[in-house]
Amino acid sequence: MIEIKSVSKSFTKPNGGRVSILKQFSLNIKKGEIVTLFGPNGCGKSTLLSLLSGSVEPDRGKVILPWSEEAKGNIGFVFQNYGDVLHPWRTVRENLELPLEIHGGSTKEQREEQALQCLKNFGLDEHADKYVYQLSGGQHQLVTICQATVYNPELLLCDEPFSALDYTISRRLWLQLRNFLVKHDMSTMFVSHAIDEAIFLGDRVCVLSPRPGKILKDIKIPFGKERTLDMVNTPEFFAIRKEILSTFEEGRKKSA
Amino acid sequence: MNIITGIILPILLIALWHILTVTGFIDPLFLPTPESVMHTLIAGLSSGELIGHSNATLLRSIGGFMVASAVGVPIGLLIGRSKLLSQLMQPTIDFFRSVPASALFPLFLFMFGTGDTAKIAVVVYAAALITIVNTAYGAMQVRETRIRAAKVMGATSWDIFWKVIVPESFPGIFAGLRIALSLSFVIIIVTEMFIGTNVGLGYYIINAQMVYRVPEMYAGIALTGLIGYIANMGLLIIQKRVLHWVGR
Repeated sequence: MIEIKSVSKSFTKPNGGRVSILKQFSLNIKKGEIVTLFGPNGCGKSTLLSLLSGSVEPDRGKVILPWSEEAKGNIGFVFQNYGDVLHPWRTVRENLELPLEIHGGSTKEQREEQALQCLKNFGLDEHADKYVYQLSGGQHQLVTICQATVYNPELLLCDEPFSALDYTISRRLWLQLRNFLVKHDMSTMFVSHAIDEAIFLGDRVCVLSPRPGKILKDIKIPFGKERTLDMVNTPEFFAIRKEILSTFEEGRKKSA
Repeated sequence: MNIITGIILPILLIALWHILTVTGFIDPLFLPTPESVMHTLIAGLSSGELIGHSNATLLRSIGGFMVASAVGVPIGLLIGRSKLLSQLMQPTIDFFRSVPASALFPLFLFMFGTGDTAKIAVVVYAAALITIVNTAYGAMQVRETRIRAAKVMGATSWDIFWKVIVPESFPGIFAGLRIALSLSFVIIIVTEMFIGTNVGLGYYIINAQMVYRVPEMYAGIALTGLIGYIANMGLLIIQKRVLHWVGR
């Protein structure tokens, strides 16, 4: 179980004042659970990912991870701007080998094998020896997902990874990502601005309030583990979408 | 198409040069015909005289360039990634960048004597500054997201330096090396003209000029340009292979 316990975080503004991003925020993620965060800009979604990844420390409260701080390779992070993450001087396979090189303890052959296996999971093995600039935007983003998951992290953090892609490509990637996460029982926190994406991918959708972010509603998505894209046209899906939107609007009105 | 476009201007310039000299518009004492320069160049190369001078010049300039690169690249990387070092060194580097290397000849002569060491030291001074500045600029351009991603993967500072900062600084490093290489060549020729030697293209050119062997002087100048062009093309080919991702 991953726990965020009563965490508060504020930042200094350029004029010297402080802005509170999160206040007494709590959230749990069970093993293998996919939690999506849906909320307005600046409500602390990305800050939560930074807190979980350890790149930012909370002012108050605790982030409890079920592994030691020194352990490498327990967190995978998929960034929004995928072009800034992959190494264009490396081939697709070599990009996947990068985290394995960093973690150490494996031979070149083992790393190659592991990278190829991961690419196969996403149907990208035929592109293994291409450079990343030779790929389309969708393939490029899939490679960043592969890079973040090739070492089977305990927790995957995704910061709006599909926001720069068109809707058709995004939908295909939702399905691929969801199937992969379920198959590998990988705990995931996924930040999204797209409501359909948040519902489709999540086992739970947490709707956040405007700054300082808090959970307005934690909605359990009742579609089970296996999902298909047709699901987004069902009355149940529309009902959840409506619930999320009304919660979102209420939160916005209250903070205005 | 590019090669054809690239040779149009040299052909036009040689044609203009030919017309100006055969019509007597310019005194051959100042500018001989391209034919006589070409003839002198071929004769100099066949006799081995110009090859000996070129070898001496190349050896000195490449020696200086390599030392400058070995010093300039690591310092540039450190300055590019450390705010404190950058603040500490930038004013001094900017000051010395504005001082022409030739103005410091007396100082280098005093420190290293009149041999090859002084000539190479002048090259190292000028080429290292260019390499430092360009490398530092390249290192400053490294994307923070890439560093952050590597940190999340568990990368140490050493991993980040070797696997992210160094390769991502390559465009800046190469830009610096290309300028430094041509600068090394130019500076070594100038030092050969003014710091005692009896071998090297600079010596050959200045010697021919002093005794009014004008076709020899121009043959030396033409060979200098040709070597510089070939060296630059060589680096461009390497750069295209190493930096295959740039601009894509």
